[in-house]
Amino acid sequence: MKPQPRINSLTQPFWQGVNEDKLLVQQCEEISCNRHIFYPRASCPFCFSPHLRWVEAIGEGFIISNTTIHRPHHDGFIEECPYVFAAIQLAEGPCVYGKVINAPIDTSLVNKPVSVKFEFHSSIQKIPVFVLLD
Amino acid sequence: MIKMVNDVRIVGAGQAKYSKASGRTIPQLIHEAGSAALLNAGLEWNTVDGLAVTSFLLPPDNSATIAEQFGLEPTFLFQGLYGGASGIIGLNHAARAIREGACDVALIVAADAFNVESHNNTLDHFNGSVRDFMSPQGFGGANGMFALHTRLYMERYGAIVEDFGNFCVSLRKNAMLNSNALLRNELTLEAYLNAKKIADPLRLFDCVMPCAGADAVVLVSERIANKTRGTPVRILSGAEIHNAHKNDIYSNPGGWDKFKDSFFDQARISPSDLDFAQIYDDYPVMAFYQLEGLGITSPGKTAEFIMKNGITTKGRFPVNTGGGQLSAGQAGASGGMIGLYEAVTQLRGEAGERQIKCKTGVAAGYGMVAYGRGVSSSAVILQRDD
Repeated sequence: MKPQPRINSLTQPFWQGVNEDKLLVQQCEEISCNRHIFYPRASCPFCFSPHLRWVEAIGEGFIISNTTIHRPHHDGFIEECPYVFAAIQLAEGPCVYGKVINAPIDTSLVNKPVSVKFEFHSSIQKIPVFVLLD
Repeated sequence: MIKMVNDVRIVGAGQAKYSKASGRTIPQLIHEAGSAALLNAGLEWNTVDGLAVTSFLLPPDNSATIAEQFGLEPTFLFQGLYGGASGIIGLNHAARAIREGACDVALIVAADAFNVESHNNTLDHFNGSVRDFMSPQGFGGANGMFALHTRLYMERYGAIVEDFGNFCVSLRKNAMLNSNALLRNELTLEAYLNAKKIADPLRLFDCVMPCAGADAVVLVSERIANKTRGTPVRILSGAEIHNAHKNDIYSNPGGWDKFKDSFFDQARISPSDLDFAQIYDDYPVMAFYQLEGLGITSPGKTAEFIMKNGITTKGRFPVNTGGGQLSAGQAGASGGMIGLYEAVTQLRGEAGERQIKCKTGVAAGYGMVAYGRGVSSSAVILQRDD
């Protein structure tokens, strides 16, 4: 079994959204800020406001950087190796991490556009993965 | 009346024996390194009244219960929770404590005992963001995290894998002169390039080998320093920063550039006055970011600097003269102390076969990997006091 996220009052909306095929991120409610935030926080790391709401991201972005995992950190990923893992900047701004499921291995994909897709991670929990668009 | 300010001196350094498999508990490793450092200083355990401990595997014990186990009664206590940045941060905090008169003899020690599996397991739960938003997504542990930074450095500056390979090969040459380094067989660039891929573009020899070990230094007030053996070492400057480049971690995963100017101003020297650097080399790319952040090399020009000057003990600017973590092994959080141990040992002229000619040097730390990079950066400038 792969490592599972711990779901708590802060992260629950995100993981429930994923199970409904939605990529939710937080957004600061301060008009002067309005920045999007990920991973889930108790307050805005840009303006310190405690007022955050959950919004659905459009699910598109580009690859900041990528790697091909040949030796995984957890036995749950051994059968999938080698696979492409990337840092992705969403159109809304925040960085999210995930596998890029249709990408060639051992090659740079920096700045390539991707869109989100949702796959089952366990029998009860989905997880976001990404698809290379070109 | 003028208040006397105590100055501080580092008067001893010691290591536990590094090994692949430990068989030793964390308190035993701490005691082994601490005893070696105190012996080196010519001081006894009963003089220790300050203690700074860093170890991932220390819980459920902590620095207070280590004091209890060892029979110490410290009036200054520090526990490093910032991974590989903690050893130097502990030194800097202890220096403040001694300058304020809170203690006279501080033992700064780090220890851990890891293998690949336990290292991955620890990293998996390192903090909330890694546990919930990187590990389930298959990040590949620290290897995957720093593969992303390595790729981006290559893209940004046109660096090639051979640039990182030359760094690793040089460090191995240094390790071959260090009996406490675990990897002492020669590493050729060809062998580096032919090693198995771990997390592209990282290959096996880009990744530190988790191991068991411990490193310690002894910091004392100036008045105690006269009663110790060997050459004392002064602290010219010390700095730490956390969550640097918070809005753009992929522009620079460290924070040394943020404090470089005040750090060297305080020391009243410039980077060109340094005789060596002992830096945190969990991955070659982080060594490059440290040398660049500290102003020793220019951004993107570290590989050129290495080829031009040479960084072995025979080179014009030696780096990680004991082989670094990449060749000595990474004993968990003690990876943040191995450079400090080496800096003090070199400045005291006690490095044996690998001794370089030096008066002033820098040691740096880096750690607590969180959402995409290590959050904590530290550094200290040291000078031989003679």
